Amino acid sequence: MTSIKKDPVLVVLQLSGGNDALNTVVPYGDPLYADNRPSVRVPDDQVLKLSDYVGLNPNMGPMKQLYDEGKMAIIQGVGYPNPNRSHFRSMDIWHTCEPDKVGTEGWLGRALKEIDPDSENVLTGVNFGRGLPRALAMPGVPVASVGNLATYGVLTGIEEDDQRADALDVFSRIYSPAMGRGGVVDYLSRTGMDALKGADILSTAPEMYTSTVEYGGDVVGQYMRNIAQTHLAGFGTRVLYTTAPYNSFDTHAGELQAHAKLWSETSQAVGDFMDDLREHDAADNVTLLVFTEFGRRVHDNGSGTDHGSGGMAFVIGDNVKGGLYGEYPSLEADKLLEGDLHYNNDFRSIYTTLLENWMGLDAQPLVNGSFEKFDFI
Amino acid sequence: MANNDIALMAHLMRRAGFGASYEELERRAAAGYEATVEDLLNPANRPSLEMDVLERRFVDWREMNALEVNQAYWTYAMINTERPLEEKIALFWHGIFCTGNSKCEHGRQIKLQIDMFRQHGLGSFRDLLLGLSSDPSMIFYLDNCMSHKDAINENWGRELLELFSMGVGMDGEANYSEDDVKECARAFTGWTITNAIPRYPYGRYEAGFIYNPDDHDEDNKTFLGETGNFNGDDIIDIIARQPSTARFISRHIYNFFVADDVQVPAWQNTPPRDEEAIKMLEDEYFRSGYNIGSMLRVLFNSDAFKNARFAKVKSPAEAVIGTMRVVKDYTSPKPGLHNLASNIRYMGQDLMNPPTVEGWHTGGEWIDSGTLVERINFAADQVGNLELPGVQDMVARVGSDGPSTAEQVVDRCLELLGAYELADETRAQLIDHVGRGGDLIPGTPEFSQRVGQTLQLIVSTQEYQFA
Amino acid sequence: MTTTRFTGITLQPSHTIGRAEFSGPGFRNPVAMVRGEDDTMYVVSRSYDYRPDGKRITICTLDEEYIGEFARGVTTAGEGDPSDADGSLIWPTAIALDSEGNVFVADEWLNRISIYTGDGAFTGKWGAQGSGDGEISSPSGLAFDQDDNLLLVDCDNHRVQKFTRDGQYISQFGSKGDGDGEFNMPWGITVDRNGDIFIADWRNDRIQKFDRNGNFLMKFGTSGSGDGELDRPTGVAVDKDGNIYVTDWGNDRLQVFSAEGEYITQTTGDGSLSKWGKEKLDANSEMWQERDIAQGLERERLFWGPIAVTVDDDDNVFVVESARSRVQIYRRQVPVFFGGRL
Repeated sequence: MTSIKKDPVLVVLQLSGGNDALNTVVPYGDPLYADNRPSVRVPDDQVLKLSDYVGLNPNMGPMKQLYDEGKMAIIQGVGYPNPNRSHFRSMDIWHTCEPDKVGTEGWLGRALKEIDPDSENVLTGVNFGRGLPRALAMPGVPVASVGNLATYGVLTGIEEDDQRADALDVFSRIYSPAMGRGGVVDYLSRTGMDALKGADILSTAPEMYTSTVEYGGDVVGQYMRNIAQTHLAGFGTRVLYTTAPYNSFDTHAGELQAHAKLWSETSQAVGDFMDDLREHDAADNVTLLVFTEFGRRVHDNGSGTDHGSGGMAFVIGDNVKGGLYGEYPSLEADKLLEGDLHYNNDFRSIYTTLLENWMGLDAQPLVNGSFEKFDFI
Repeated sequence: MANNDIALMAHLMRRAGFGASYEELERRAAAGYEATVEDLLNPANRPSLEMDVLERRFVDWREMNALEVNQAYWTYAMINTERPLEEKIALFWHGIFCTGNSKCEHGRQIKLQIDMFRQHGLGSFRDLLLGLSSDPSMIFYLDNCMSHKDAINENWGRELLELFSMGVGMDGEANYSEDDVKECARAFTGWTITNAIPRYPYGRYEAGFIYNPDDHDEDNKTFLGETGNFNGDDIIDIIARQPSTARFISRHIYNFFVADDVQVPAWQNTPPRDEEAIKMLEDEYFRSGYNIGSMLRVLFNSDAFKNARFAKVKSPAEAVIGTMRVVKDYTSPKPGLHNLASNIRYMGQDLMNPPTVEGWHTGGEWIDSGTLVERINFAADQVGNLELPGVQDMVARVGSDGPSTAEQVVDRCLELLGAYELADETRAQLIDHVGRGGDLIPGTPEFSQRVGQTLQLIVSTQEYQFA
Repeated sequence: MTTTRFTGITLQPSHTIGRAEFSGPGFRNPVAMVRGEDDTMYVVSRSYDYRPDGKRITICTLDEEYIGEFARGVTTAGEGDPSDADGSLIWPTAIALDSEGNVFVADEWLNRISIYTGDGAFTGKWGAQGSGDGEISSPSGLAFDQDDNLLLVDCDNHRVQKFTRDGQYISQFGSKGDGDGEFNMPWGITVDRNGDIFIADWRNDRIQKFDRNGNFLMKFGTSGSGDGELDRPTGVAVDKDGNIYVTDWGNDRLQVFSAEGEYITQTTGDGSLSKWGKEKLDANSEMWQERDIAQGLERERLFWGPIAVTVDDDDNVFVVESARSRVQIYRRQVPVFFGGRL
């Protein structure tokens, strides 16, 4: 771990739907790429070249810049044994680190339990989006799920400010633990007060925040802005999580156009986020992981690509040793797995590296096993 | 009629259904409690949903392919059914006989399983287990299609005993041995499914159950002390007559319909919360020939049930549907149903996609700070929406009482929402708050607003989270 | 003297177009189609209700060349409410082309007719919810008559209304009921060469025929699943010889009737792999092997949710299947000796 004094913070951006690795980190130097992608191909001359073999999607300018600064690690050929092409199941596997059986605890939920065993801070983990991703699920670990930071809270449907303030006043008195009624009601009361406290604290974040960075109006941009606001507010939040709109990377059809828009928004959001943190001198204790549940078919379907395996991930931050990690999976027909890229690197190696080298935690119990670490951090 | 009749009816409808509007409570209370129990237990006497019209407006319902479409359908059905117990019993069995879309990836196939629960859920438990054993999504979910006579897969055999019928143990003793699991799995070899038609390019096709005699283990098995060349249906016959099965199903019924008990894994060593009620259900299980409807009839008419008001934390489905049935939105086809259905997931219950085969933990475990905020905000948004017909009904009923004090309005709103009861201190807080604006005078511009806010505060209380 | 009546018709399966997609080549829960200029066709996709991105109109050719799509609810995949912005669709039901090739699409949620050029550029809209003259409630069928006026099936008002292309009310006929000339939630409509009007009287399980002025001429069909019986007929089309084609939605079949309404024949589908479908399988090649071992692959032939039918001047019969996201095409063949060899 580096000699920073501030507590390390991990931000996770989940690209749900299965991002097409081949059109993201494009193996333009391999003639098999063009052969397999007669219709859904990024042209050679547009690729943002990283080497003679691979380059980034042309819509990833801001991320290319982070790469050039040496602050972005690209982990190629990521996956796990016996790849599953179901969105739900594959995402569960990434979330729970349980490829063989169905797990309920998330790797980050477990990490939060290690970081704050008694849940002293209700905001140690915060998710941006509706519904809790299983990655953050862990019994007894409170994680706020924030649909919109500007309007997050209890009884947000009451529009008039003073009426809502009155209602919240009543709410806090009703839920006050001093009223102890025993059993589940007490538990509900404590939970209600936790929720209110968390919401009260979180709601101050946007007020405290000023920045010259203007994020895009898309969902990822807005949530990355919310994450920056929360981080900058100094609530002691250690894990911040968000998800690109539900299955948006599921580019079965019209991929070139859709994927261009997705990456131009996502890359811009990532670049804005890093600019924002740096502007506030708050980038030194943040590392960002960008991942997706699986890659897509090597061969296109004439308009898009269908579910496959062998994905990629990005790790970004000022403490990251940028570069290409892991070998790019071969495109040769006999090296493919049922028409998919064969993974070279277990995703739990990325988690292990982040948990141990960045968060300072013992990863083995959190990811259900021992995995070789990368040296990107 | 006496308020107690309404309160009791509200209780019955919350448990045997998903709650009811005040108008329905009055109607049913007038018909009588026992008559209502019979009405609920005989869903076929009531009309089903008009699926032709629904499939016309929700065009994706004919195919009913994706999980999300199925969740939207089930949400709509729970809100609008005239057969509330048919949907409730399906939800009950779904919480026990879990099958998850994350593995099956075939929403329609799971929906067909839920249909089977609708159809047989109030009938013989033996028939239900037989239906489950030959249900394609269950066979796939628990790998019985991967179990062969020369290489058994124990997954189905184990869960059938542990989670679906007997439970690991009772009264401190184990109910079966590891050998019983293996023998059970052997008896179910050959119970398999068709090879699927790929989902591309035209979507999915229903899977079929197949019994493959060539892959069935024909040697003798010894199961729970009995020996013979058992097949799967023989195993089910043996399971159905076990006292442990009667206990296990009775405890599930109690935990779902009466009061929150400890979680299932603790049942081997923790006695039932109400041993007398469990005994009553066990007796009826055997007396009726394993008939679930008969067990519910005895239960709903018992004091143990009638006295168990608000002894359960609502499941997310109950929380969402219960509120919707009172505010009366989505009573006819309308876009946005999926967004409504998603609230159940946000509160922690992804219908037809339970986290594991063990299903959802219930009771207080539904609640954490995130899901509690979802519950409160959802319900408050609904009852505070003065455009919704059910909310307008409640405002009008409060208004028909004439000028009222805050106390009268709070009590009336509690009754209209389903005869809820608040702790004295909470009730006093609400009355104090509502009373700050003085008495409520119907016809004044702020009247509806203040009634709406009273409803919002009530649904924000701890008490509203209980059924 | 005995006369031979040429009531015999053979439906020769031609080919299948489509595959299930939320955008690009393919359809998602298609509900209507219309033939365009030359060999083009327009197909309306209703999509899953929670996937507004899949609501669109696809332009393609009869031999399955993808030309383009327009009127998409939203432009990216993902969450989002359906949009009622100009030109977008929420619950599209029907499509018709005027004599200049402009595209008219009905939306039964918005109670709106949206108008586009043949290339898909939005040019206008009209429609107001209600039950008065010229007001509409859940429009479900569209057809132009020979005067380029638009006949609109006004489902929830149980009637048919006639409008000019720009939405000026002209006339109406029908009311709720099950008597002659009455309707119960009517759906599909077509106008034959004589200007007579055919309506799929959906919840009365029958087809009714009217003259151009809305005078009742005849009816056929009763509830059931036997030959000539109907279970919620959705679409109706008439060929140049007057034969009548009905998509029998609840029975998942297409039935053909003579001009007099006598049952001739039926088919439950002859779906085959489309060109786009083969491309999809090529990209997921293990599915070719899965097809080899699949049980019941013959079900791929069957209609599922036949929801609209149209016949073109070349005797092609098109059946739109909502639940299979495709269009099956037949060639109508009349059993008449064409000469040549014995």
